[in-house]
Amino acid sequence: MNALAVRSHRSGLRTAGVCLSHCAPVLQRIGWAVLLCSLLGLLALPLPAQVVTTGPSPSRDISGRTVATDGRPLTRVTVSVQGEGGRVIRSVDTDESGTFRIFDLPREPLTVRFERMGLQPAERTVGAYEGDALLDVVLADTMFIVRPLVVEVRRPPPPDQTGRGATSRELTQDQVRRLPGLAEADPIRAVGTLPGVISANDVSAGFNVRGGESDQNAILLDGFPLFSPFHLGGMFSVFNPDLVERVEVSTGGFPAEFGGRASSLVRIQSDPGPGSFQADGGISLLAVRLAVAGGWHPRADERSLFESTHWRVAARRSYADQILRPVTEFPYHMEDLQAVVVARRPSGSRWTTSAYMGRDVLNMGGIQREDFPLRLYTSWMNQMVGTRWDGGIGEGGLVQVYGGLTRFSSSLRFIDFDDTSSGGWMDQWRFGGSVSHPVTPEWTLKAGGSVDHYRWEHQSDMGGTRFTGGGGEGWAPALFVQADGQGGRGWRLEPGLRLEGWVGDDERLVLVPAPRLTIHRLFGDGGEGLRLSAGRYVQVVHSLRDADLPLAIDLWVAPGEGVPHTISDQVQIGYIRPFGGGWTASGDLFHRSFQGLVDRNRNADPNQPADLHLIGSGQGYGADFLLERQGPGIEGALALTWMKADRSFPDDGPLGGARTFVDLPADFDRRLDADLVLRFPALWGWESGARWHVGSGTPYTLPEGGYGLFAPRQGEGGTFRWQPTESAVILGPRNQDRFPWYHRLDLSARRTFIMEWGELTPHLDILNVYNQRNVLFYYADYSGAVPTRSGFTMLPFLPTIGAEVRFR
Amino acid sequence: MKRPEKHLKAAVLLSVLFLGACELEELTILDPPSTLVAEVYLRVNDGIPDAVALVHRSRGVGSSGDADAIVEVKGPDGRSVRLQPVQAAECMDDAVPRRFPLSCHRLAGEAAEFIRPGAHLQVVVTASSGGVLRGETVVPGDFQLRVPESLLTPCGLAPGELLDVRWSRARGAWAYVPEVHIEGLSEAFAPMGVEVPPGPLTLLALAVSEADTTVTLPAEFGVFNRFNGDQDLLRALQNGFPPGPVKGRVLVSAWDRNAVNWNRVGGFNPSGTPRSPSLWGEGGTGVVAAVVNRSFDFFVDEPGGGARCAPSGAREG
Repeated sequence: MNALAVRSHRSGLRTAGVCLSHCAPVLQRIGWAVLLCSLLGLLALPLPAQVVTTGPSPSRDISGRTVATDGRPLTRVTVSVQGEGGRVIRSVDTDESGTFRIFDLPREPLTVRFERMGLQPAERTVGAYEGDALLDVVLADTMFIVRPLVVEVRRPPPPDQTGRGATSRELTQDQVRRLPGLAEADPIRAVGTLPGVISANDVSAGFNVRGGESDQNAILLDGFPLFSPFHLGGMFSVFNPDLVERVEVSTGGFPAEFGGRASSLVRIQSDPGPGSFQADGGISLLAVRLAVAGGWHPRADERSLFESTHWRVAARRSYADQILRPVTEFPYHMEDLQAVVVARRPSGSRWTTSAYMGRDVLNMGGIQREDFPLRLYTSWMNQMVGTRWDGGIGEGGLVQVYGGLTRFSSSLRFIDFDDTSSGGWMDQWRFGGSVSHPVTPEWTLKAGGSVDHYRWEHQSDMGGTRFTGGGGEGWAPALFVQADGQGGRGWRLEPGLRLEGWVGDDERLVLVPAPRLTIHRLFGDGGEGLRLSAGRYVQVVHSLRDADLPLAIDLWVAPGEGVPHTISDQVQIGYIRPFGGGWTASGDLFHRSFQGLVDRNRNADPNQPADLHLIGSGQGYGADFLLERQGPGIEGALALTWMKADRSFPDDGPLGGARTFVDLPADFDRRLDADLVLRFPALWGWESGARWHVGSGTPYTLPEGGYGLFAPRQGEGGTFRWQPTESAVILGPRNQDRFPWYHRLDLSARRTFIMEWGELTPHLDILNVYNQRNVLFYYADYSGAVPTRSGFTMLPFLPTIGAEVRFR
Repeated sequence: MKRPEKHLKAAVLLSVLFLGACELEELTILDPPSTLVAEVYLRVNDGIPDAVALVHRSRGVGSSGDADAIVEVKGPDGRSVRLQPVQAAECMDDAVPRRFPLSCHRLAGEAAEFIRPGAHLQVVVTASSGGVLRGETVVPGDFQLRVPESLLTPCGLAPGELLDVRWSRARGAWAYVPEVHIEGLSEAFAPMGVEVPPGPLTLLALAVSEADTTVTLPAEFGVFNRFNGDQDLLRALQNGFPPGPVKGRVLVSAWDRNAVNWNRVGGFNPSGTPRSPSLWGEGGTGVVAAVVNRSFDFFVDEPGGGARCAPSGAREG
């Protein structure tokens, strides 16, 4: 309890509070008020402030003094006067003598609060009919417990890993949001603006890195892989922009601790929020979304396993099906649910748990069957849950342990025919850990291992027969050791060795050593440097996505009958040079080979399950260049890529003949690709972004001719039946022709308005500003009197609007 | 028309308008070369061999010319037999517009006797322009019907009965394409309000791989018609044949590699169905397919009216 004594400014003692024994001497020193204080202290009755009026007056003043229990005047005590409803009318600090004076206060019940860090707060009331008041307050000390402060410091990476080089990049949430996009900010779409990354078309967010297949990109959410993180067959990624803190992309040369995919590493880190309530939401043409953040911080005297916990939960759903429901059945919707919890121990260790569930549904069962014969239900789903513990060990050492499950599944069935369905799923359990520790002042050693367990199954049935089917399970153990050492004169070495294994059903363990080496040479302190990386990368899983389709669903398989693992040997050398004014230029030369690529065998022998896949090889080589500016004013980057990606796959020949290998450009073989991305302030407080994307044409297979389709009948004389609505096509050599050059300009604008309740950010995106007709595919029609060629373009001119809100 | 259907059509129209914004301008393809296409089927029908060949051309320069060709089959002993040209109508179910020039060739009788299960045969197609296409195949092994036994033909099916047709393996077959030719369906389904096109109806089924030797009659027939109309009829057939004057013939056809590769859809292509050829040569493409067929006849009536197709008891649809 506080010792309190209050004296009316004009009428002497009128108010008292509770006085403890230890404060009595102090009160004696401040005059006659002590008597009453002591008396009331004996009575132990807390009383409210007494009121003495001093005649009518339109306003009044409150003044007084604050002292400590030993009589010292207390400076910088905040004195705030609150009126009715708790509104703060005025607030001042006490001066050097501990006194304060607040003028012109209204005649209404007032509450006066006295606060300063390290002192127990006090509160007084002054009635509506009181006149000027004099408040002398004694404030007692209080214990102020300060928790241990944990400071996490990251070792500064070399310049080409700071997010400013061509090989390793970091994208912030702001950069992702300001990139013009279709409906929603999309971190995976943003990856497509980086050098060495090819997005083959507008309608798919899938991407290819330096000649690698799209299934060779490891997309990790808080360290755990998502197999096919896309909605709408690849048009959008599954990542809710409200939950993305940052995106790290490595297009090559990643160290030995990373495995599982051969081509690139995209690490998406969830934002667990500020640790206090915050709600973010948004609406776009695609979906509505809401993210709620909170936290838990135990009191200082409360025993708790964790000293702080931050969490955030986000949900997103498309809404076209709901708002169109009164009018018609819109057959598609997608939904996401994502959560992250980060709990910190007093020791500084951290426990991170992430979960994601997302689903796309295309349900045509509600459509009247006489209008639409294709009554089908299809869905595909990503699910992931994982937990990771990061802690310290010794002096400067780090330990990480993790475990989780990720799953991708898809299904397709027809409402009217039970015997027709297809689908598949793959589960991946992942457990692992690592330890890193400095062994000398210059060298740090890191070692660890992981075990992945894969199970998968897929099938395609129709009319009582199985077109394709398979499944299996297997273990993929891996061990790694890597070092990071600083040499003299700007040299830095990162040698490493990864041992990848695979053992499947009734198979022997296969081990593949995957050495890695990165050498940095820095010139001076300005960040200029060279980087050479070489290494082997191993991948056990494959997606059998149909590359002929612009939008398709992945079908994942692991090594087994007829499916090998992929081995990629890669080398790259890069140079980076910062200039003044936030400018940086960097470039890389790269070459990679791929063995064990898998493609669908469209002529597979159904009697040989191993014949379902074609096993091929490939390579990619080229150069990346990046010119970037960061800083105030106009920011942006120009990314240029020259690349050649080719493949070699077996092709069927005459019966009994050996399969011959055919060399062909990869489907995404865009030789030249340029991306200019700008972020700049616009008028009236708006922020703008622009992206101009130019690329040479990607390959396609030319239809050289067409002829009537005649279906053979075996009964009734073995006649043929002409199919008038269909035709057959004679294709030229695969991927030997190219579409025209691609180019597109996108613009975006957004502005954040600060409101009483939070923030409101409307945004406008305009895709394909000048309506360039970029070719998605051609189709030739040889059935008419005159053969014609037409086709479809990618996205036309398309303005979209949306808004984001943040409640605090 | 129901109101939701109107809205659906409006939505479809809007979609079409949006897609129309994405459509490229139509261009004329100038002088595409015309290509000879030969489709040669070597068959063994319930033990009786024959061959049929359809020769036509792709659209383009030269397609206005004839589709004449010489089609020869060479047996295992090296003996070569030429298929005889016949009227095109003898090869076609229906008339084909004149812009599709085609010729038909047939072989039957003693001349075709070397076409037998398991035989390795070669085909040479010589176009009138001089181009030559060559290909070869191995005729699938012979097989026998297990259910119903071949001696039971014709056999009876009860209304609503589903018959699991079974047969032995045909060595080397890549797929079986059972075909049912049905008469009397329109009359039988009329009381049930199911619309059926008048006249006989032919439906196909599919059993992939040499080992899949079962198909359910009639539920699993019509798999290639499921998404292009006849929905009500095919849904009704999931529950068996209706009572009425229904009869027909089921033919189980064992297809070789070449027949399967030519007829299956080889991936997505917006310009048409790509096909994997087994006839190779200058200026042409085509297939030399070998099939072995077994058949039985059936009729629909109540049990007790004759030999039953199912060996014991009927499976209800």
